[in-house]
Amino acid sequence: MLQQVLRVSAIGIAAIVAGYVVMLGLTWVGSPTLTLDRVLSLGTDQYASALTIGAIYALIALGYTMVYGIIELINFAHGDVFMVGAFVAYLVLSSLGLRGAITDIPTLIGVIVLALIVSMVLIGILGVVIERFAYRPLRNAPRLAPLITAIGVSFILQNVVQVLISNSPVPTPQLISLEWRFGFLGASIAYLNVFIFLVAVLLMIGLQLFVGATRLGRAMRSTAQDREAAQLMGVDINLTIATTFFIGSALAGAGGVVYGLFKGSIVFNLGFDTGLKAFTAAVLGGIGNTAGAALGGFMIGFIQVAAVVTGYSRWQQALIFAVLILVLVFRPSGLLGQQIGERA
Amino acid sequence: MTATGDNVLVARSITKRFGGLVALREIAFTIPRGSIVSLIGPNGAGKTTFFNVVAGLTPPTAGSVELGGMRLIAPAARAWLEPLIWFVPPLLVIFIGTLTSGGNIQLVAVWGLLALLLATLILPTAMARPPWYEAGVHRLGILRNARPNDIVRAGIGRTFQNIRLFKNMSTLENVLVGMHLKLKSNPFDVLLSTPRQRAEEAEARTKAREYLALVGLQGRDRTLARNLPYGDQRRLELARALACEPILLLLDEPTAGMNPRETAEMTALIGRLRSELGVTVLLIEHDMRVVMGISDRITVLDHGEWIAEGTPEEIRRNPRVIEAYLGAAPP
Amino acid sequence: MSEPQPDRGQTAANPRATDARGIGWAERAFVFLHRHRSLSIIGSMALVTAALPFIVLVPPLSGFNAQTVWIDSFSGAGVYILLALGLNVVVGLAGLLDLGYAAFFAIGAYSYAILASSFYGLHVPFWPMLILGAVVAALFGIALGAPTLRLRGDYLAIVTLGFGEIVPVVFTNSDDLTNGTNGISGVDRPSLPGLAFTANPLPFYVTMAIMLTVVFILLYRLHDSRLGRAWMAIREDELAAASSGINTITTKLLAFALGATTAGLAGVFAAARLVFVSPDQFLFTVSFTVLAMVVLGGMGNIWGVAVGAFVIFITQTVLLKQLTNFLRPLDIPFISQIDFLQYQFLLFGIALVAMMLLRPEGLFPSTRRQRELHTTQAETEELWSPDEAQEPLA
Repeated sequence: MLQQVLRVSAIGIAAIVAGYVVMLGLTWVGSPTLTLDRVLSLGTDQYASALTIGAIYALIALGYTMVYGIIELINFAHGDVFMVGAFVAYLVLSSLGLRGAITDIPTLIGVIVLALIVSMVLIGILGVVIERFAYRPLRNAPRLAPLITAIGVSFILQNVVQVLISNSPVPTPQLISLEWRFGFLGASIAYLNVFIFLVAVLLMIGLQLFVGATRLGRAMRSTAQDREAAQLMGVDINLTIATTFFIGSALAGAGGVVYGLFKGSIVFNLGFDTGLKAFTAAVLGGIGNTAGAALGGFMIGFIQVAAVVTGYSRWQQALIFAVLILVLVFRPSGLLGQQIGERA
Repeated sequence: MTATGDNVLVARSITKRFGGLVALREIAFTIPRGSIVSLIGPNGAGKTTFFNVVAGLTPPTAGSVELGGMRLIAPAARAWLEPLIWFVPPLLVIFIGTLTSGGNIQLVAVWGLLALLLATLILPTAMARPPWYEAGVHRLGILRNARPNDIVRAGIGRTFQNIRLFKNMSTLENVLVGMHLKLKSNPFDVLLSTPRQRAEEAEARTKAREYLALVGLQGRDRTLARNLPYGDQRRLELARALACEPILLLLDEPTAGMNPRETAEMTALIGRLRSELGVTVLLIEHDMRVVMGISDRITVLDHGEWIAEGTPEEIRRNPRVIEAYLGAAPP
Repeated sequence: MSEPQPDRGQTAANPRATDARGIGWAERAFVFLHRHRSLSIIGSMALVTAALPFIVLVPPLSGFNAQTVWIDSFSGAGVYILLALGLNVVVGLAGLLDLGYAAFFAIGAYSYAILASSFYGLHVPFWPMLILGAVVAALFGIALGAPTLRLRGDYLAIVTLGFGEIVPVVFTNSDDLTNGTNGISGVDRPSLPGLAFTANPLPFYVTMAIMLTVVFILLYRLHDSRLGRAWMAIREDELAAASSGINTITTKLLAFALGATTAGLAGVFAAARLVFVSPDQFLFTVSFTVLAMVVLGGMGNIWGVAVGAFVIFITQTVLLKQLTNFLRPLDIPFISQIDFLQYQFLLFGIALVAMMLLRPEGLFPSTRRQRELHTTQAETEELWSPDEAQEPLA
């Protein structure tokens, strides 16, 4: 077990370092006229962004992949659940009268933890409610039915936020100021990026521990493998599925909170775009595979920023999908997905 | 497609590995024309895997299969050559385009689009593997496994261990699908509803009804396959397999789950297939009465290995077979 | 079900009908129409096309819109009906979940806009462009379908979704070729000697009706053919289909190609009608709306899908808009205050969820799917005499 942890960490660190080098290279390619200094500072900044936005995509992707793994449903409403999470955090923070950066560390931590807890719990509950009323009745219906319902729910969520809160982008307080930075290899990195990255990694580790070591986690894994057998073994399917939705949605809620902190602005149709990228990440990594979702999330974040840095920002979306399609052509089950052999 | 010589099927040294597990080890097999051969063995012996290899559903790790003298299943040779065929023409076009455009971006773009168009035409054609493409590929010495539908075209029909009917299509439609390769209409004929197409459809329906009558399902054209009782579903699957007019029929446990009366009927039906239609049959069976009653020859597998082959009498007395089924023989 | 009552020819479709001979007249009519199918299609389409402009003169429909506006929306509805029919082949018949269908719609529209507008100064006439646009769309259907062939159902969905996103992005960013976000305006209208396609929506309406009639006839023919059965077989069990001799690759590509053809037709028509194309006419909302039309109308059922598309389109574009104006003067407390237009998507979403929960097989399911979902066992075999059943349908 320890060996596995060490191995994964080693691979992770190697990947991060490799990504950093590539990003620096791309920055130089994108703007060849810059001095080495500037390349370093711009590249580092962008890479930190890539890791941050990648972490957010990973958090959302986990929800997609967990739900798909357990009931084979593409939960189109998941992106909008993330969006609601961002708005919930906004409401919490603005009701506390907060507008900008907080410099007092204990207060800062307290406020962020509060926002995270409130958002994660509420959004987790939202996920469970959606599952209970929109998906559970359709568990035995043909596959397209819950898909349509999911999109219907997506419309409902978007419209409710649009009407109740605002039609246009809403500024969110960036509690951790982007000015707060520390030096690194001649450039500087914002604490905010590190913070978000750590929050995401901690949550992902927590998820792995939960799924791997607890009874409910085992129930989730066995239901994903073979629902009938799990039921025969005494697993409460409804509870297991509800838990999956709770956890997945809670993670998306956390993603929403940190997104607001990072970008400083949220809007009602945020869920569609971000959700689509996160879903692509989940598929890229192999849908149903949590490690794949994390990997996919960071890859998509990287591609997105790489596109910006090399001047192809307009082609972001197209590039992301092009990568996905290429990967699927050569590995039809995603990067880490199991190859499905033909069995008669 | 006639079999050269006496053998309809020749399997040479078929080996199939799934990761570390050896499902089949150097199985060699010949099936003479007009015979009924049974493949038996304890569960997990590799019988269905063998079927899947012969039917083109899964490639063997090694070994080859010939049907009627044609090598259908074989380990790949020069497989790397094929992607070259696909990608070289478009790349050539781009290359020529860049050379002759003299830096004019618009012109290069046009050549690029042409290359893309070429790729769009070549790739799906290659994936579809029409007969003329296959012929060309063979001429270049490229060998790869035939696809299931090519196997059917070569004359093998099969049924499945866990009945794979088209559940929401009617009985008649299931058989009509089986006749897919025997019908010649193409999309244009269909869209224009030419007299030829209509005549062909009418004949097809008549023929399909004949197959249904042959297996005892007459008069139930419009019943959905999912609403048929179990025994009838197996018979429908048989009719569908017969509809492709196979030289060799692979039947995977055709009497599984049937009561004694149905089993006897099915066994008699299989016998009639050989006598009336001249079909050669390879069958996987667990019911020893069926096996002993109808087979000309029996091959026995255990844990992926060939352990015996011979007439029913010989097999009944073979000590290795007894051991495989019943455990070590008493001293 | 208890059996002592005499059989009055009840069927799942018509539980009560009988006539003197004990066989439902509705069933007899159905059999007759089915045998002379092309004629019935032409007849009913002619009837509907002629009747609609008069039906909208009746209140309250007349209160919603003027007759010309209604007729114009019917042309618009026709575009979506074409789209839904095409997607029905891909999703309903062949079982390939295409979430990016708008891409082919866009390709058809842009082909026409590029080749027949003031943008490049090319003016290929409308009528041949219909064929050309359809062919171009079909080629792209094959091109975009090819990468999906080895993928499992949901992966196929995401890849098609991807293409549905990529195509508008390409159009947006290729300023030289497509004028980018500004779109191409000044697209040519169709022209016939002696007939002007200008502000009067009637010629467009009639053209669409004719296009639909032709497409219906062709689709019904495909449905009952070797190809249609091959599609259904693939949908039911791809492995068994391949093992029955079906070349799944070719068959799937044909499904994509034929589906795309209809979208191409719709695209050319839509571009000519709106005289303007831009990338945001072809976003995911369009792909999804068409999918919803197919599912809600009754997947696999040709006329069901058409009616479903018509109903949804008219509801969205006409009724919702006019509902506000209609209810406001009535002064119902709270309800009259609502601006329904704002809540368009909310209502659409609620309707979708409700529909799926109550009737997942759609409004007009093909009898197959109804059996699939509610397992009824009606059979009307006595109506089909042996020699009638021999003859394939026209």
